[in-house]
Amino acid sequence: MNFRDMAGHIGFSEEEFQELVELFLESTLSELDHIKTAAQVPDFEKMAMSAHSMRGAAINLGFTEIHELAKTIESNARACELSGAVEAADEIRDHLERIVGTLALTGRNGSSDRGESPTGRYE
Amino acid sequence: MQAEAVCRIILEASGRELADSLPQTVFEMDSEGVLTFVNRTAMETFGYSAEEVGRGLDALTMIAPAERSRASEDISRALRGEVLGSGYTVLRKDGSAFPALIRIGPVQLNGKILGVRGVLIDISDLKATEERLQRAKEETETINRELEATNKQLEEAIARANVMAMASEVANCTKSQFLANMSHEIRTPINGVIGFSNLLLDTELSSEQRDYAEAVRDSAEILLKLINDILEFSKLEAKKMALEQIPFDLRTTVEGVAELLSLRAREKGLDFEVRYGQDAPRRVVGDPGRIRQVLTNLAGNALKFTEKGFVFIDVGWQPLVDGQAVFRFAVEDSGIGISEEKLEFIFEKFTQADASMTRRYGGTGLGLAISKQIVEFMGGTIGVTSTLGRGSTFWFAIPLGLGETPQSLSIPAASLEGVRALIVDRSEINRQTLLDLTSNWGMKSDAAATPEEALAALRDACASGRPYGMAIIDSGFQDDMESVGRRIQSDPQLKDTVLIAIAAVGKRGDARRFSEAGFAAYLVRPIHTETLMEALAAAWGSKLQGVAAPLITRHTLAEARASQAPARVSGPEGVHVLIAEDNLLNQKLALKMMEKLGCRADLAGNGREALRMIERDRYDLVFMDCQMPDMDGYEASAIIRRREKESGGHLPIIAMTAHAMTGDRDKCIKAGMDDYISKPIRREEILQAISRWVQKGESA
Repeated sequence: MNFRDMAGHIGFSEEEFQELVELFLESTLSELDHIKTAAQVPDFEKMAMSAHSMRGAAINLGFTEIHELAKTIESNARACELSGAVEAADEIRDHLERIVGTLALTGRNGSSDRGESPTGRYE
Repeated sequence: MQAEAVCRIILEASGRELADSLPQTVFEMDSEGVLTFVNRTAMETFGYSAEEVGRGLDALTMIAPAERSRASEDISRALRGEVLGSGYTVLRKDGSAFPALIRIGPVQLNGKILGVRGVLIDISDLKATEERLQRAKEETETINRELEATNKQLEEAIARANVMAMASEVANCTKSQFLANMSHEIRTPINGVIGFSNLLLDTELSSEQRDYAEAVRDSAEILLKLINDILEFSKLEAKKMALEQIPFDLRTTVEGVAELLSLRAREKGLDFEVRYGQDAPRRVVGDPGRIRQVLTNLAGNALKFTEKGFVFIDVGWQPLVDGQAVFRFAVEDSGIGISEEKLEFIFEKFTQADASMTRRYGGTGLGLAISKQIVEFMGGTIGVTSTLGRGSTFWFAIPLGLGETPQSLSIPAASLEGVRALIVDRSEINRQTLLDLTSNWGMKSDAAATPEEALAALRDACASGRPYGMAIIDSGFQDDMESVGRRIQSDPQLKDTVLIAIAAVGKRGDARRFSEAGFAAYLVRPIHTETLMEALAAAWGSKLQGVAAPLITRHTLAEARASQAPARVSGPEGVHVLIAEDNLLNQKLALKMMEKLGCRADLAGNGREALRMIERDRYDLVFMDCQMPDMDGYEASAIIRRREKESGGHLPIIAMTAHAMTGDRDKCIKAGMDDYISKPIRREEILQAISRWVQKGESA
């Protein structure tokens, strides 16, 4: 994961990109929660919505693996298929943790104290 | 044997003779404890006769009963050959006792122990001396203790005196230095707050967030000013203060004070009003900063010491000669009040009405002293009237020069002259204030106290052919304001009534809710009269012109004022774009991209919100996410197109969707969208879409 390249890809500076990543982590974590809650009902409509929203955000920043995983959740949910959702969600969470790690390493002002519960920092 | 016995007798005789001459008691007893010999001193001391002793006397009878067992123990030990001494209480024949030291040892003859011999010394005198000594010692100790205590008190007194001396040194000699240091310590973080609020204000904020951030900055600025003023207190005392003489708008100054303090008033649920005398001039010449300082102090105190009820700031005036006038500022509250005996000290420095108040309310106790200094320096007087438990009125009166008549700062979109308005509020005070204000602007206003009354009045007016053009729904209804508005809106007869909301407390999302409920303006107390007038005028103006304007708020008014001059840029820059997108990251990303392209972009969180915003504002282009909660992009687009069939026009809608599921594109076109970009969204695609769909010169 090279944030600088990823940032350059969408025409942003690395710093701007890191900010967006923080926001992405926040929104994706909340969508993951929604998916888990919806999976318990199960509410396929909601699962698909959240997965879709997450997917769009992921692809916008270039997190293709998360995009693919979310896509799986979305299409399965649309087919009223519950299987794989929780696993995919867990896998997404793993990816997020890796992103947090990268963020901590490259973090602005050496802010490597973000821990594993990233919260977006608004401007 | 005989010789032995003779010898012994001789010895005994000579010994006894010797013993008789001794001043101590000398005695002998046999192994049974029966006295066999006592000397003369013994007989004199104990009061026994030689005959009595000769008849056989148990030695133990002369020992105090409690000590007899110890004595017989000692006798046994002496009979075994020991020599020992011990103190005893001994008894005379008459029963009187005295202390004695008895030393005993064995009487031996040829290695055989025959009995016990002993010496008894009267130690009464010794004992008495000892006791006297002990008493003397104790007395000395007592005296010492008393001395120590006295010393300690002295030391404490000295320490206190030192502390007081130091305090007074701080207060007098090094006060300036102390205050300078203090204020530096405080100023640094405050500057941080101001700096960061400014940075915050430079970022994208909702109008509510902007209001709050501005309040943070303004409060910090006033705090900073106060710190500086405290530093000046030393100068004040030394009469080294400089006063400004500049023309300024007194009313704006007073209302500015109220606005800064309004948050606290709101938090405490207090009625907080500025009542600026109707005929009082606004343009004056003087020191606005000092007036603000005093007024902030008095009104701040009033808010601090008032738990319920009201705080009013009244401003009245009295003309003098030579273009001067006396202005009287009174801050009236319904707070805890001040007792009569405390009143006379209230303006002294480091005084609060009660020490317990300092604990409860904090504060330096400098405020009123500073205010007094300032007011007197301005050639005025300051005073207070108060009733304990009822409230206080702090006032000050100062002479000010009268300035030239100001140019009107207001920019009325339409004249309010003759506009019929209905003021709706439970609170009598609020109704009266608004009636006064609106009538000043030439409006014809009435008031209603309940929603029912209001609806009846509105309908009656309609029926009589003179409908109200405007309904001002004031804060007394709290959470009901919105529903009052909706009830008016839902009546077909009344739906054209211009609705104005005046809230006591601004809440997150209020602007949106009130806009949805059909209000034209939404204001939060306390309101500058100027702002209220502008809002009413703008709302009335947009009704007259039949334009659907976005919700009027203090913020939009300020923006309108600010943006009177700037020329609009044509071309890709300055294009007004609406982004309908529910995902937080995508919103931010799109906003940033638009910003980089120089577009003006607004956000809608779903289709419904997008529809509302399109109604309220003119956009050049909409980027529409397809899937959103509540109302998705397809539905919203379809509605936009349906509406356009009636109203004409064509708003370009560009779909944004995360990589096509089959059929998505068709769905977009079918819903009436013009174009389609897929996520990831890229700068180039956005640029292309804008240049393709927005024609130059058409930008709003």
